[in-house]
Amino acid sequence: MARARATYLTEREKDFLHEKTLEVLAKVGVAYNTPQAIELLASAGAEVDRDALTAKLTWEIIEPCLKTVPKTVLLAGRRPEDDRVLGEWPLHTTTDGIQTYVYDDLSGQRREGTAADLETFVRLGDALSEVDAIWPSPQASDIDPYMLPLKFAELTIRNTSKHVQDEVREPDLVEPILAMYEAAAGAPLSERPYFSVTNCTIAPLQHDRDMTEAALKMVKRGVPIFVLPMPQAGTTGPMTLAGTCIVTMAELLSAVVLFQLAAPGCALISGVGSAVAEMRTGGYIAAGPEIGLINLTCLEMSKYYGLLTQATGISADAKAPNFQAGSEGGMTGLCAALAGADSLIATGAFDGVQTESLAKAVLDNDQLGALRRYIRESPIDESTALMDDILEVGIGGHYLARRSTRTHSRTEIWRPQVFQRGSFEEHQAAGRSLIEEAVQRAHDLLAGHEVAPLAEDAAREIAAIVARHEAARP
Amino acid sequence: MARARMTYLSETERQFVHEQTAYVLEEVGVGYNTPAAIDLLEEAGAEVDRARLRARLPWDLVERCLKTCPRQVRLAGRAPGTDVVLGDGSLTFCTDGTGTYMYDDVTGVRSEGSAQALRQVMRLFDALPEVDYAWPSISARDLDPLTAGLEIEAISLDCFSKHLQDEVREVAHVKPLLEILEAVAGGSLWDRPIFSTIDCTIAPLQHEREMTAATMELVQAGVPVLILPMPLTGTTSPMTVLGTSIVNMAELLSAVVLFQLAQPGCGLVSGVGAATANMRSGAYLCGAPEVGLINVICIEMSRFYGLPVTGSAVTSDAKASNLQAGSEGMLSGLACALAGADSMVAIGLMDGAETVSLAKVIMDCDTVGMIKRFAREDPIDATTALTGDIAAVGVGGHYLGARSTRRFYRAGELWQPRVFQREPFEAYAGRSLVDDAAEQARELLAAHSVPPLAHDVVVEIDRVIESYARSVGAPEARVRWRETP
Repeated sequence: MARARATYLTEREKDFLHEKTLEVLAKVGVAYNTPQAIELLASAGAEVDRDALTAKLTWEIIEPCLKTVPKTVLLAGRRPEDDRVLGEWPLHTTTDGIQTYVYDDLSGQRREGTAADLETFVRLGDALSEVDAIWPSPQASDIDPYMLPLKFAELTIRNTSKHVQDEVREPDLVEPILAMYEAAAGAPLSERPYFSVTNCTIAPLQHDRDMTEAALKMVKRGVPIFVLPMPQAGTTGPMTLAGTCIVTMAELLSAVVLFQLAAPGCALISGVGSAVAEMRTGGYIAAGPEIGLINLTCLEMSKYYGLLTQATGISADAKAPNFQAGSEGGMTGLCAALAGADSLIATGAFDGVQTESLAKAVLDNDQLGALRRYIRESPIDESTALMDDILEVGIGGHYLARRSTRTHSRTEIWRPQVFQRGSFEEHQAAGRSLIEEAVQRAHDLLAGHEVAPLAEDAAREIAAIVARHEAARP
Repeated sequence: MARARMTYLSETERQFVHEQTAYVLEEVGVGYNTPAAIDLLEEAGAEVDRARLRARLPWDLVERCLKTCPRQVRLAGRAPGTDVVLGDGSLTFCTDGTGTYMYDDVTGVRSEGSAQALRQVMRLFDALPEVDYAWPSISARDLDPLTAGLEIEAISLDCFSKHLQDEVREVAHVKPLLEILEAVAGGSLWDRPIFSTIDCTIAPLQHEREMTAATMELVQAGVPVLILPMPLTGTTSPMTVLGTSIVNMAELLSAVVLFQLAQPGCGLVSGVGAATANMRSGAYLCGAPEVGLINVICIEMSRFYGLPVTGSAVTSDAKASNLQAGSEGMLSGLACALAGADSMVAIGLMDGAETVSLAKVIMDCDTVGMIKRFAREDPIDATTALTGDIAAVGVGGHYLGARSTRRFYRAGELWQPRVFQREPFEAYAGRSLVDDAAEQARELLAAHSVPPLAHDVVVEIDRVIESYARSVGAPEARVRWRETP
């Protein structure tokens, strides 16, 4: 079977980056910023500084922790048919989160996201054929900050039966949020992990206290964790890609150690969130060629450590779903897919991942379809060489009447849902641009799609959890 | 040094594709459709059918001809410092062709190509460093058909100072074209091959009589040749990516044999023109992922045979310079680059390679820029690890003040776009990307001057074309290659 694969580093270069990563962890160390973490690390033999809440890590501590990380991870849906197993499912995909703004593709106007937008985009993600999981987005700016985390989860659960991945920033909210997802899944998350958490480290070489404490609680409850270091070359990471990858991998390994000590064998995935800075403004560049190379390097190094991976791709810095968005997203997406990423944070976002739009989500679905065609395993043998046809058609002639043409046309050629492949005249006569077609497709999907309903008792329980939180408002 | 690379076929699979390709050449053979080719092939030991102008090629003959192909092919530019060498490890980009229409991305209006449009497009290519060499990318429909073949090359040589590549469809054009090219090169094309020819085979497994005869004469005059098979999955080749790749490679090798017999050691480049068909209309689809995969297989197989190779990429089926165009173009471009293409026919076209857009030319240059940065060889060692800075910055803090930040930024660690919009949303209020790209094209055209042809060269081109025009009875009153003042 042929499968397209990209590689970047030589074995020696991987060893070199490994050694340098260890050097950083042993000499500089990492700030965990929470006493709970420091206690765990001290008991594992790390050299800790209890005042500064930092620890230095050696390979003797890291290696056993890497060994307890599972090689496959179930990301359950609300229903079994939405289950995906990372490490077995080819290129698992999620919507990208979390955006601040929603862009109107037809008017070009941008505004802050609302609860209604959250429901729309989660439902759209639920309807999109190439999306496996939902990172809910956008931020609902019209919900008051106290209620936001729980309302956010409630609206998400109501609008998708696909697996949900999200951040949890407050340790006190872990229990109610997990209870909501457990109610929806109808089982403990340790059995049906319908929810996974993203843990962002803070570059360079730090962990956020609240997010880390929340994550510690969650891994103990069976919630899979995506560790997502985000150093930016030039600001919070060195200006070189190699240097930024070393910082990324150091932060990643520091999280592996912490969470495997807290819950040995907990499901943990290496996420690559590193990017580069726009050096005039300090802005986050989500999709340049360097992002592709950082992805490639960190995916190779994560595999070197035997870890499952989640890459970023498809998202763009473009200010609209335009040519630039396709070019940027195609680059990072294909690079991650070819590098063998197990999961890809993918659809919907642009403007440095600050903004999303209906058209972009739908067009990204086509981009994902194309990526999947690129990395599909294909037999290279008599069944696909079609030598009998080549010999019989011979010189001149055509293949239109061949039986193999009919049978293979259904499977061999990927068909986009919105990308325009008819003649110029045909599309001109239809009078709709690609963006207009994509917006219409989004509306059609939203109108026609039914989210698998939540069981009544689950809905009641979730509403009760939200109500209790409201009642406890200080 | 780290360099991103892609592989698709295993060693065993490459061997399988090779064996099937050789089997096709031996068992089915190829229609050469010209007696001169058949004479050469028979003399070299091929089994020929003189009545039908076909030949079956034994592998030992193909192998012998592969051995005389140079590993590197120089494509000289008419201006100093613009030479390109295919096969030296560099990755270069050519423009795509030949579009019938010009599309204005700002107004949405499409118009037929003209001599003026060709001039404009070639001047823009000349101004862009991302364009290493070019095809005349748009047909000039207002030129007289009797002389258009020569006048298009004259316009292109006048408006573009880097290497020019194009088809020569008529044997009668070869002699005057060589006279023009030698006048521009200031001598023999063996010394300065400022032009290379494209030889399109006709799928399945045929050569076009006129083009083949013209190419045979051109390679004998020192003109390098790009072989461009163009089988279409489902119509002129089998419905599978693999079957289409086998037909592509069989046609390629049949051309290798012919042209290496005609001119042993001639500069020859493997081109991948195979694509898929839209099965409803039969139309050519160049942006489909299967086209990327066909390119990857044929690039791997061309490298297997030791040939320099040009992929087809970056061009799109989209009807405007939109997200689809950006995505399709990047996917095929990146796949070709990672598979090890030496160059790509890439910049400027959409709508199944039927339409040129000046805005797309500019935006494609950013796609190309990203691909080049991505495919660049970079050291992974102490010079780039910057662990000294990592230790000095430590936990928290930032790298803005590190000397290495300034040094590597200036040295190009981060690719900088030409038109892609990366500043905050507010910075672009009311300015779309295509507006910016179209504006940049206008500015470049206004500011750029193409190194002019010497006066005596212009006089000589005029003389050659007018002499040819008289010989074929072209009307005196016709649009000519030279711009009217």
